[in-house]
Amino acid sequence: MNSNANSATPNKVLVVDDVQTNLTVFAKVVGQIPETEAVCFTSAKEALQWASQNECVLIIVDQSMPELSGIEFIDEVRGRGNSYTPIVMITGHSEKELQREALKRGASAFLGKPVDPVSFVSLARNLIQLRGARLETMAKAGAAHADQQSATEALFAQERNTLDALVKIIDLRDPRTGDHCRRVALFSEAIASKMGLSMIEVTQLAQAARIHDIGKVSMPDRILNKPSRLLGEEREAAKRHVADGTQFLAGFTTPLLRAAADIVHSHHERFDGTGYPAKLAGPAIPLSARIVAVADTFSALTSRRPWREAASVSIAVEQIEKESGFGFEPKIVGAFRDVMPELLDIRAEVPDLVPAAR
Amino acid sequence: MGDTPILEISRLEEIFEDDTAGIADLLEAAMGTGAANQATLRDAVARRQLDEVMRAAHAIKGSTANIGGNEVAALAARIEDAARAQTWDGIEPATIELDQAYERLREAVRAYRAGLS
Repeated sequence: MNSNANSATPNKVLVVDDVQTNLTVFAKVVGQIPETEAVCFTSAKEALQWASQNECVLIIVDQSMPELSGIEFIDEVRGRGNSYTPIVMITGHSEKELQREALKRGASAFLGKPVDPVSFVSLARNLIQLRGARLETMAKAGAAHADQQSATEALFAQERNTLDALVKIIDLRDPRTGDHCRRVALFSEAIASKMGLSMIEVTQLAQAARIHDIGKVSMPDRILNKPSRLLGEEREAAKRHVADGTQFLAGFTTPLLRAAADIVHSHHERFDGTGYPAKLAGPAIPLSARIVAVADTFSALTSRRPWREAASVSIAVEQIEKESGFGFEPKIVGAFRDVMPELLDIRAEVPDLVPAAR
Repeated sequence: MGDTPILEISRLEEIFEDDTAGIADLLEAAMGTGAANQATLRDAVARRQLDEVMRAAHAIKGSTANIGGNEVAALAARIEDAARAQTWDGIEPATIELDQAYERLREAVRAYRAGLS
C-alpha cells in the first residue's frame, strides 16, 4: 500500500510500517512538518524499490515487519549507498540491544510507540535540517574537488605541451639524441613499474626522462657529432650538458618540469659518489635520476657510435651488472634485469635508426 | 487493568486536530485489524507456539497503543514479554483478559462514533 507516492511535493518522508492504521497516523503527523508529506508503504520491499528511485528527506521504519525487519531495511538502504538520509526506527522503549544494533547499521534515532507528535515533529525537523547541511557540505566538497582536479589537469596538460616542445627542440638539434631520450624514457618507465613505484610516479618519470639530455642542444657540433671518441677537454665540454640542461630548466616551477630538472641534473651521478656534477651518492641522488642512469647506460651501450659498434645486449647487461653497487643502485639493477624482455621490445620499437656521423 | 483508560483519545485529537471523522475512520480500521490479530493470537496460544504468540501480541500492542487503546496495549505487552522470556506463565489468562478488554475498546469506539453524530 502506498499513499501520495506520485505527488510532486519535493520533501518526502518515507514511512514503512506493516500496519495500515499506524501509517495513517504517521501521515497525519508528518503533515505537521512544513513543506513535507508522507509516502507510506506497508510493504518493506516496495518501500525499498521506491527509495532506490526517489529522494526523500527522512525515513521512518518500524522494526517488526513480516518481509524485512527494520534493521534489515536499514541495511538495504545504507548498502545501496544512501548514507545521508536520516532514518528513524520505531522500536519498543525497552529494546536497548536492538537499538544499539540499529545504530551500528545506520539508524539515526529511535521512537517508541505510540509516537508523541510533538517529539516526532521536533526530531524530524532537526534530522531534515541535518540532512540538508550534510548535503550542502558534500556538494561544496565535491565542487572544490572538481575545481582542484580541473586545475591539476590543466596544469598537467600545460606541462605536457612544454615538455613536447622541449622534446621537439632535441629532435631538431640531433635526432639521434631524440631517439635515445625516447628509449631511456620507456626503459625507465618499465624499470620503475617493476620497482613498485606508484602510477603517478611512474608516469611523471616516463615524461620527465624524455628530456634528460636537453642540455645537449647547446653542445657544439664539433663535440656532439665528433666521429671519434671524445678526449680530455672534449669530455669535460660534453659533461657540461648537465649544467646547461639544469640552467635551461631553472626557470620552470611546475612539478613535472621540476622532476625533469632533477633527472637532468643528476643522471650522471654514480651510486658510489664518483659521478658528476655534484658527486652525490646513494639516496642523495634522486630516485628518478638513479633509475634513468641505468636506462641511459643500457641505451647508450646498445647504440652504435661513430667510433664503435653497438654492444650486444648480453655484454651491455654484463657491464651494468658489474657496476651494481658502484655506478648503479643494486635494487634498480635487479629490476632492470627482471624487465629485460620488455626492454628488448622497446628497443625493437624505438631502434637507433639514425646513422652515426662519420 | 486498574486505572488504565480503555480509549485515550487526546493524542489522536492532537494529531488529527478537528478531523474527528478521520479519527473515527482510523479507530474503525484499527478494530478491523484488531479482530484479525486477536484470532492469530488465540490460534498461536492454542498451538502452543510462543514465537507466534510474541509476534501477534507485538502487533496488537503497536496498533492499539497507536490509537490510544491503552488497556489492550498493556495486556498485549504483558503477553509479549512473557513469550519473549519463553514462558507460558500468565499468557492464557492474559489472553482472555485481552479479549475482554478488546470488547470494551470496541464499545468505546462505537460510543465515540455515536458522539459525533
